[in-house]
Amino acid sequence: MSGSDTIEQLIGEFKDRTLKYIRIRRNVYMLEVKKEDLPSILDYAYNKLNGQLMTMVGTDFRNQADCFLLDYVLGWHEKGIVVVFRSKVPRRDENFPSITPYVACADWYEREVKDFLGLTPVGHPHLTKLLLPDDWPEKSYPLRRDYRYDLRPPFTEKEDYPFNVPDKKVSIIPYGPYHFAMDEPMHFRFFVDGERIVDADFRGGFNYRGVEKIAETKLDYGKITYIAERICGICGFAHSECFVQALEGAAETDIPERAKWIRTILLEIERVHSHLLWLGVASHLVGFNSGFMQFWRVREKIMLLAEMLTGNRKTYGMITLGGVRRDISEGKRKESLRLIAEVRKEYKELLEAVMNQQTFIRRLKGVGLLSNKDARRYSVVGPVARGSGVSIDVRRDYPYEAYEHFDFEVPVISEGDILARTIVRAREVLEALSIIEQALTSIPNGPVLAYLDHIPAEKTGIGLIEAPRGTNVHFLMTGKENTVYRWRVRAPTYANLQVARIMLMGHTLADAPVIIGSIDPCISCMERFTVVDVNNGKVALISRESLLGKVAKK
Amino acid sequence: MLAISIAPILDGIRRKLTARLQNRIGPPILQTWYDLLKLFRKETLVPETGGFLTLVIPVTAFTVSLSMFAIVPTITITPPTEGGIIVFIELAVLSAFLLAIAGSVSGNPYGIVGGSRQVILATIVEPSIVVSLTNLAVLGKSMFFDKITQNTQDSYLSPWLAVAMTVYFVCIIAESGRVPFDLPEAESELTGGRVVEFSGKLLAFIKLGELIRVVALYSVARFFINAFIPLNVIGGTLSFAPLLLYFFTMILCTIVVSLAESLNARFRLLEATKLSGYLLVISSITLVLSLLAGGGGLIK
Repeated sequence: MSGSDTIEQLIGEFKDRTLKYIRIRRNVYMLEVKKEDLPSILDYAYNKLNGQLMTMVGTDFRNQADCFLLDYVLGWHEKGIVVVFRSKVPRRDENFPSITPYVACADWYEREVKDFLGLTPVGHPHLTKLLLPDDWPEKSYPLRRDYRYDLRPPFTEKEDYPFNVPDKKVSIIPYGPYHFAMDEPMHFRFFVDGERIVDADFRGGFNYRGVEKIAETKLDYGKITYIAERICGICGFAHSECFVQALEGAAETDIPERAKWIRTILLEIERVHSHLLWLGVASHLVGFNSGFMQFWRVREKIMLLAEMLTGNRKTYGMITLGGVRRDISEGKRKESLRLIAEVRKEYKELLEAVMNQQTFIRRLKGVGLLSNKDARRYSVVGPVARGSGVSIDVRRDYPYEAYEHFDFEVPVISEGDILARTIVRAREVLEALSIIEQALTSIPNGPVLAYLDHIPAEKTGIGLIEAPRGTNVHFLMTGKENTVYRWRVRAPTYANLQVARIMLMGHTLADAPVIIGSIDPCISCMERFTVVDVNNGKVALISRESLLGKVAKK
Repeated sequence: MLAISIAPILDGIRRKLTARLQNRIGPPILQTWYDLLKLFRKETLVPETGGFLTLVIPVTAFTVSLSMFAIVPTITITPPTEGGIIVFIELAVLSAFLLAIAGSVSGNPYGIVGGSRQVILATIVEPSIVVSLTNLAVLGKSMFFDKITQNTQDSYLSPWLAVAMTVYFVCIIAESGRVPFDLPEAESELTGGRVVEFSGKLLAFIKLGELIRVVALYSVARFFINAFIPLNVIGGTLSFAPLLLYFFTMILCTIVVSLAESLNARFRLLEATKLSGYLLVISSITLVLSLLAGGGGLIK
């Protein structure tokens, strides 16, 4: 069944309920439906037709059409199409039927819409805050257009996040926000019986920096590219590439071939460095520090390569609208090829040694299981999905930049444990090295920057990237005078972290860091002061002030 | 005094070795010393939930470790204080459990998990130590260290002793509190586990106590080695012979621990239990065999 068949089937099924049908671009379609029909249509598209929920966006559209817009973006990887289901929520009636009961992974997206736009998903099973702090004032929705970008609500001592505590008798272990095993603050609450994790709950997102708000109110296109890079310290290039791709799609511009090749090379450099970093961190998490040091030693050469090509150890500041900012000279090209060959040799030797290290392998095997069914049900992405036998890869399914010109394999393993995710990443490094080599040897000559004219307003763009951690989705609506009206970033961790609970359940506390680590989480989170009284299992939250008071007494 | 000065230096050597094995430059050999000195200069903070025990246990554990060291002959043949193997074993067990309790008293969940891991680890590793030391006593025909040294002078080579020695070395790795046996602290899992609520002087006491405890365990390894390289072979009755042998043992143990640390990932509790099960079975069989082989006449 090809892409157009799926669309025809969808339209045929819901002919009487589709308000509007547009083909936005070659493989992007948009169906406009009534908000009351959302659950039934998405239930059909997601569960019957096996679509993947890529992102969901709420937009304040009151100034233009007196309504809010809801866009559910579904993708069909095997057919290479994206369908946007758009629905209007009128100003007076600020709610919509939740699809979470049918599409489990819509959970966070709908909570986010509630947080930022104040639209209530009716029928959502646990409608708690997702990204905003506990003390955020009621009826104050930061992503509405009439909310000033620099407005700060007063700080209060309120902390009342309702965790999902299971009924069984368990002890509670707070995990994070600051924990050795986490490179970033995030808070898990483990409910354990002895050392075994019975259940877990997650609270995060409080370090939300409002990048999207700033982009929508203060910046123009040229600047957002560089803000987008700063979303992540590891896969920043993937974010800026994704934004640029969404915008170039909306503007329907073509960029020069040579620029496409250079972007591809940099994306793959980023993948190699990110995966090597992860392999090192995973070794560290299970106490295998020699592996940690050795993987990072090899990674250092990739950082040198990035520095040579971009002027930065990270691949920052390279991409811009219409192309790239620096060309690769002939000397650098040759030197890069030499470095890549060196890295491949060292990496292969190291990988063989590490994969024969039994204590290391035993820690990963059979741990953090995610079944193929759950992986599909929760629309997980990237190495986590591919480690559970779900064959999805944006580079192959929705080719962007120069990927269609290169040969590469997409490693898929069906075991679904951490070892599978490790092997997927380990093989992807080799594939990425091969892509870089192919690109460097076949790079066409020509300019690296195209001139972009004024971009019309109210165009919709979707950027899809296979970032190191999985599918990166940027949804974009253009505004007047080269500004962005709405920009929604969906990082891969957003999709993957929702299944952490499933992976954790039944395993021991000792495995928790590496299980959470195995999805390569990349998030920001809030700061909490939590004290648990273990004797009666009650959770007592101590406010910041009383804690400071206690410290002062000592 | 010897214990206090030598233990951190040995730890420094271990850190340096491990670093070199991991392609790092590593800290200076005296780094552990600097760390401890810094900790001793800090103020004493006691968690509200811990109370009196939190204050006392580190010091007690330190004292126990020190006495453990005191009853083992180090650079001489006779020990500074008479104690013998039984007292040594008792002190070893005692200090392990003291550290476990230290982790649990504060009521911190990570401390409790660390403490319970320590109890389990001690329970499964200490028997192997007991059995391999008993084996030593059987073959050395005495419960006292100086007698064992004398009785093994005429190169009493026994395959059983070799096995017991191997078991003992694995136990040393397990007791050293490093990867792959660092479960009670497990930085990336339990953020320090049993020591999570300690800081400043108390932490310094715990750390130094642990280091001395490990060095005391290293010291006993000398008697196994002594059985294969008797004192009169390396220097006869010369006074520096025990000294030489002692430092050889110390360095050897440090290398063994460092290698184990660099080449392994952290064990899970179940894996550690299984390994100790094997150890215990092997050492028990060895003990029975060496008793049968005529190691009788235990107490002379």
